[in-house]
Amino acid sequence: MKKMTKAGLCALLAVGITLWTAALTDAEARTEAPRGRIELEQSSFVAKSWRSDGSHLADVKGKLLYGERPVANALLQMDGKGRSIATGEDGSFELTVDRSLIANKAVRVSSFQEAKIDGKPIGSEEADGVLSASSAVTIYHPIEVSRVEPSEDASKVRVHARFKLAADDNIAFFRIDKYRIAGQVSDYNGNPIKDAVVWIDRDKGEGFAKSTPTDKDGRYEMYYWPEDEETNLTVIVGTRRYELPEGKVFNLPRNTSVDIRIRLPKEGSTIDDKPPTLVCTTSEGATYHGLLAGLDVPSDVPYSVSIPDREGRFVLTVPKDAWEKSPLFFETQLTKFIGQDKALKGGDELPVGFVQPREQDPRVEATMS
Amino acid sequence: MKKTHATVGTALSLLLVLSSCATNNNANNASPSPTATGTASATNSPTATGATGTSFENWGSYGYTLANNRHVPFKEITADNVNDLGVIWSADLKTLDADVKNGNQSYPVVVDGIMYVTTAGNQVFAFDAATGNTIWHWKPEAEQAANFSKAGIIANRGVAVGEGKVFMLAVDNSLVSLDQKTGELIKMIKLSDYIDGVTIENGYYETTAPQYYKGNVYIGSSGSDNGVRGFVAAFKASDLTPAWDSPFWTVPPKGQDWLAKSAFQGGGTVWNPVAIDEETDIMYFSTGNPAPDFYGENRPGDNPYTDSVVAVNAMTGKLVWAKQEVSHDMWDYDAAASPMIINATVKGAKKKLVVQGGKSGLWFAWDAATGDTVWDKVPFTKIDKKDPTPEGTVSYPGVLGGENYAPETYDPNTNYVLIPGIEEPSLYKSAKTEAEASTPDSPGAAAFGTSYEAVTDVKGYGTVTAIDVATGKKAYQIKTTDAQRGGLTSTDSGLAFFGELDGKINALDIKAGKVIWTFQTTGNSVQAAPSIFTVDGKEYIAFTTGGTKPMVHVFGLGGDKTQGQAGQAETGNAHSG
Repeated sequence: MKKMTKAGLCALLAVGITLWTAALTDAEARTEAPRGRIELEQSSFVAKSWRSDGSHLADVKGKLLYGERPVANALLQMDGKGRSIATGEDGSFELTVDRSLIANKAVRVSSFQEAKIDGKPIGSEEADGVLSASSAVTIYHPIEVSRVEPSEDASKVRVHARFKLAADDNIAFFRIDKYRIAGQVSDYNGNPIKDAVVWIDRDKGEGFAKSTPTDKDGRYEMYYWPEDEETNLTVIVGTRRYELPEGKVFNLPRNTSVDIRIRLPKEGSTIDDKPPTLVCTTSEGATYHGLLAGLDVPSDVPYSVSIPDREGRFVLTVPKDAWEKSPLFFETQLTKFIGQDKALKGGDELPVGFVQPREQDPRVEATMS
Repeated sequence: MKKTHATVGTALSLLLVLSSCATNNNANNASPSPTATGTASATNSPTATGATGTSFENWGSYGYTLANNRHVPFKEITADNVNDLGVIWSADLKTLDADVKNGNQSYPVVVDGIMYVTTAGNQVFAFDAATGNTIWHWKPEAEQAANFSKAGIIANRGVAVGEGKVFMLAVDNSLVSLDQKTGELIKMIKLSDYIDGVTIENGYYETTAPQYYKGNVYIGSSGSDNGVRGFVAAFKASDLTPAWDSPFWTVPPKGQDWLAKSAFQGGGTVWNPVAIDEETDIMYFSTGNPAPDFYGENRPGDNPYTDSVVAVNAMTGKLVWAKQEVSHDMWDYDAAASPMIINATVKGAKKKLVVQGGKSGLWFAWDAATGDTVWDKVPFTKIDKKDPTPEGTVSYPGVLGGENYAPETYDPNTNYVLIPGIEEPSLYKSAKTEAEASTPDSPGAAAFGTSYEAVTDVKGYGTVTAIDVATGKKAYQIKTTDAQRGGLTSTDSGLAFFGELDGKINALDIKAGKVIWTFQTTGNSVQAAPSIFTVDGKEYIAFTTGGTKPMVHVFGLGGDKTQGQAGQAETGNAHSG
């Protein structure tokens, strides 16, 4: 088995090269100054599914150094938006990593205003060095490639891979998350109404969804998971509310997106719940959400990937030359509306370009089984 | 009735002229801040803050103190003189600003003679607590407020005050900090900038009051029924940046653990304020139901930590203990109301407890330090729970509870906890099984429409139940006309005050279990418990009313006894879990 390198290697290399280049430039101008460094006792974590006892959380100690000297009372931040983490007298700090969510989070110095090295405030000479200190925390699922076989297209290969999960991890992959309720609101004469809001709320119980305001064509949409619902249906236009007849509820079918066309009454506030004033049809598509993998290759490399099955197995169809460069994988949590009739499921191939990497997605070098 | 509403402009000018005084760093303490305490000589002259009076006993946070036990040590108003209570001042919030929305659920916070009241639609008023003069008023920009209507419910339950700031959560998942003296906006953040996915579009919204403690602002959220993932988060009061590395998530992320099979997932939102034990730094909070509400097949097991009371270290965000009230809920039985931390006598010994009554109609008491059960599943409503079927079954309590968000009070003199209850069943219909449901073969077919709703012809009512904490048994229960949606507040003179949905407010003799005073306010729908405070030694009781006439009513001895017309009970969806 090939040894796995730490995820996020590419990003770290990039940072490293930048720092190295910057250091060279520095060195040309003056004598080499020490650099800032963030040392983490562990920066790479295999993802672990959520546990009710909180054991998916890991405490990590670290240290901020300038050369070999600790930087006290500096502020660090994870992911550019996390807690401000102050360093102690010995430059040490501690942070908590949530291993249930895949991520690649940079740890950087956010402020050195109150910071001290050897008890002295940080001068301008040291500032750049301290600010350049950087590390990253990566949480990822290991990926294993089981076999690579020729594709029907001789220029491509089919790569069979899987997410390697711990036996007691219970994780689902990419699948339907919500359905769409969309349609049109028009006046009694059939003219579209702009800025109307359609609201469904559960008749016996709680839970609701409100639509986007209708556009110039009277179109609205909202995303919801109907539980075979009986709901109230309300249309709000300015301060006016239109509702179903007294005692009537709306039946939302289960497991489908729907189209609801509503024509408001000429007078009063009661929607006549029969066609053509209320026309309800099922419609295509759903919002999907979940874990997918892809290859960290230039965006013009055309490859496709399938939705992982229950065991986390997926197949990539990749140009042979791209695969031979041993690209890293990336893992991503994706949410996307897909407007096709047939529901997607594990094993279905996603279109080329469907899965794109983001900065915060962990990169992983796969092992070969 | 005295109506003395100064304009905001006047108040602000006044503030500009007057010199500032030191601010109270932790207003959650019920005791007055040192800077504000003084002699009682200048009773009616406003201080530098605009407040009348010089000595104050505060109602410093949502539940009086951070323990949320809603019991004040005041004794001026008693069973003997309660009939002398009248209106000292009232404020019609819609008159003050036409953009105030219906459905107020605000729990006033009173600090150093200034009362902070929020409104549906997220406006904040600072009133001189003794006179009702408006000291300042903040409202969101129209552009932001326009977004609020995307959430189904725009109620708000109040503010937290600390470090010279007033904190509020806006319905669009913003956290707002205002200058405590001027009401000027200091900072507003979007929670989604720090916590992924916390947006109205995803089903999250905010109605709860935040809590301030030791430099942090603690928040939860609403949206369980929309399938969001519940959390509690801590932000630094100084700059509204996160105080923890991660929120405390009450349920797994989508697609993990007990949510691995279910598509529309989540629940466990914390939609009422946390309680905090200032001796141990442990916070306690209640969590909402799992989602989907009525279809449980794909969320196997107990569904931790939904319908639970959870103890977390407030400094670190780490779990201390958790106890579930309803496992694998199929009835929308949130643990909704904030827990209380009480020092009570149990079987002859003093014990620090965390207590909570759920929408399940069951009341619980746990050891605050360990979570060990002290009293388990004490019923305070009719309990008749049946498994929902596609055809529907009637269960007690219904989807409103039990005890909804309305908070309990604890009277140490009688050792009674008083529970505001709702006695009303619901017809529960489960979704059809996966086998019966399938993706339609022919999209485009007219597959659905409307039908007549199933009606349960049982008229609901409300209750107030006294539980003797010594025995864990019901001491008595009184009935009220409508569901109890506001909550109770008790005084050291043995009275508990609570309102009703028709706009009446009552005083209960706690020991006797009898309502001894009733007053019809000029508002309707009391949907919050009163806050009780003193200014220069005089005791005041502040109620807000909601419904279509959002108002503030402040009572005191010698006030105006003119009563209003009976209001219309608002029995619609006031819940927001």
